[in-house]
Amino acid sequence: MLDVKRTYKDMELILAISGILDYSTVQEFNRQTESLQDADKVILDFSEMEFLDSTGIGVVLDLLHRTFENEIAFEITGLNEVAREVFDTVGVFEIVNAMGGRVTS
Amino acid sequence: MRFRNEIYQNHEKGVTAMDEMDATLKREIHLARNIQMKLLNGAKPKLPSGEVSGVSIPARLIGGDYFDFYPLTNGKIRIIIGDVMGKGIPAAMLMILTRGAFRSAAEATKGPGETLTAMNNALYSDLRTLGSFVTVFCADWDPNAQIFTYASGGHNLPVIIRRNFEPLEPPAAKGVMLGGLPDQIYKDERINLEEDDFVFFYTDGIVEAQNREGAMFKHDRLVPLLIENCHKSASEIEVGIEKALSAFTEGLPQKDDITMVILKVGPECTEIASYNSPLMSS
Repeated sequence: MLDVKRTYKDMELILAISGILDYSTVQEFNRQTESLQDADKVILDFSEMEFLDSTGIGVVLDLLHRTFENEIAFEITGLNEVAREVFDTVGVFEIVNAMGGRVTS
Repeated sequence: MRFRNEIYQNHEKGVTAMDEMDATLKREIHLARNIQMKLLNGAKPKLPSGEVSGVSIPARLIGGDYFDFYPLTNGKIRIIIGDVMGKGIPAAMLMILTRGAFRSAAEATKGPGETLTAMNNALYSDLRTLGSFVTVFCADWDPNAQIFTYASGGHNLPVIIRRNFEPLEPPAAKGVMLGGLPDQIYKDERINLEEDDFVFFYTDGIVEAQNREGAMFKHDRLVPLLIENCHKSASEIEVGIEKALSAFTEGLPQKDDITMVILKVGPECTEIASYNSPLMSS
């Protein structure tokens, strides 16, 4: 199960992900993140995420590319130790940095 | 009455067409699986010393995990293991693309880092277009000099167990997954291995396998299992790992593709060194 809670304030869109982001839930993620509501910054909050697989990483990167192409700032936050290690290993942090994004605790 | 008969006949035709399509798709998926299994799990290369082996078990009929061997000069061998994003038919199609890129690159490059650089250059545009990526780990094994050279494109390092049964933490090899960023340069790291050392390459389907309680297999279970089995032959180790995973997951359907490659280090190849020495040829 996946839920994406959207909070929009002062041109910032916070997408708080809870549950599992994997092959079975990426379509739901895409549906819930399709609209960026004219935000000039998107924050992906992983604090409540339980698990993600490679397909989950793929849609996070798709979102990153989308914000980059639309000149929207991008931030990842709330990664637990396991998710942080996975992102570090596959190179997500390098990609975020290369596209001008941020990773915060 | 005629109208009702026509409806009935059309309905009959519709059901038949659907059944035919189902049967065709099933047949083609099984053929695709056959191709993938033959390409992946073919004959193991013979090393002048030690042994190397690999096995891949898709979660569905076909999958996106990949491993391959490419013989180099002087008894050396290039090894690669990879994991395409996703599962099933889409991942399998990209796996074939990755295999082609590896074999072309391996022919012309000096080391694992250069191989990954060439692969990313070849694949980046297609992977970006498809919104996909591949994590890969590539290594050269030189049984003569007993040097293990490696590079990573977003893939986990292998587990290395020394002859004294101690795990060795190799120097980190960082790199972005293939398809992540363009124009990447992947760097080599290298370590020396000794006779009876053992290298276990794997994809995350192993450490992320889950039991009925939702607990994952993890390194905590994998490393002791490897230490316990490292004295066995490569194929015995493969079977041992598969059995342990099967017992752990308690009959649950396999969640992700599982792939492992095993390198067992044999004695130093002094015979090869002599054979290739310029002083000996006349």
